[in-house]
Amino acid sequence: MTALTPVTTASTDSDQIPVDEFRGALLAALDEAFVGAPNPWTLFTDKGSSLLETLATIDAATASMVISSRTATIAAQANHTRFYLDVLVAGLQDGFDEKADWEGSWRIGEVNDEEWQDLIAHLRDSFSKARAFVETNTEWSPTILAGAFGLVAHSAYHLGEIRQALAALQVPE
Amino acid sequence: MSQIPVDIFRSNVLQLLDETFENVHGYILDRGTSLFETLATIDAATASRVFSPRASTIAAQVNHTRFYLDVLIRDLRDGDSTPADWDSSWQVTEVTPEEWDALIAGLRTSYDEIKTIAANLDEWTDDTVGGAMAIIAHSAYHLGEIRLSLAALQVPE
Repeated sequence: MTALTPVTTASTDSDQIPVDEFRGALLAALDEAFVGAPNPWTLFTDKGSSLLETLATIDAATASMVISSRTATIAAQANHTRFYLDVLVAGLQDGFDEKADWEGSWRIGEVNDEEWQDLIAHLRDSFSKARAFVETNTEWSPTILAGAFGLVAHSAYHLGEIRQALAALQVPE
Repeated sequence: MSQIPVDIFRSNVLQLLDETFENVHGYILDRGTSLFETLATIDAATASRVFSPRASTIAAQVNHTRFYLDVLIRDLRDGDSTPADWDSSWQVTEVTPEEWDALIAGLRTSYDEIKTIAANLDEWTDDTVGGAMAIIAHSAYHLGEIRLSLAALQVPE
């Protein structure tokens, strides 16, 4: 995975989308991914299956298990999802000057109860910062727009992996 | 800017769809892990298995992903927002090789249509902007589930 490259086509179309319209759709998708759909309807999840709701049902031992030698633990997935939020939001605010250590984001071994709760708290904090950025950002350049789409898609992808990993780990012996 | 140019918004939607379905650029995925690339590695027998009685087959996941696109296509293209029978989208379970190929072909047809709509839609309202975001999120979510399902199904007995 690499840092985002903005999609910048020459603007020959005079049509515009109000920022508030885009921001509303973006926040709805991010909220649904992390804390649950804000509306009675959902866009892409079932009620109660957002990332932080899902992680709250998982203990440290389960978060430290793998399905196979080729898959990551749920703890590693959660850390990688948090890392992506941090890298994107920092980069969108200050520029992508340094190459992020994506491989390092997966190097989470087994976690104890305290480490697991810290990891979830860190993820919640990173989500809050990402959300605050979306709410307050006023300059929606092509790079920031691309980053916003990336936040939604990447978070949704890993939510899908984590929920399926949990289902696989809970198969009766 | 307090306005976002439609052509830049549209390009991002198309780029994320391209990444999720068939051609990784490195926005969110690792090389070779898009949906169609993933499905091309799966045979009908594997697509028909479950790793748990509570899990869906990959064939069912693919059909549901295709169904979701079709619901949005009817809404965006035809203005038809008739409530969909979501449960029916999960009723595909086991597939023969022919059915599996047809399922993937059907997904590609729906994907091509949604790209055409995104490329040509003039009216980007609350609903259509939200719809575009929903398609990207839903497709990425199920790609994640499918790839994890595949890993779970490939665990040695």
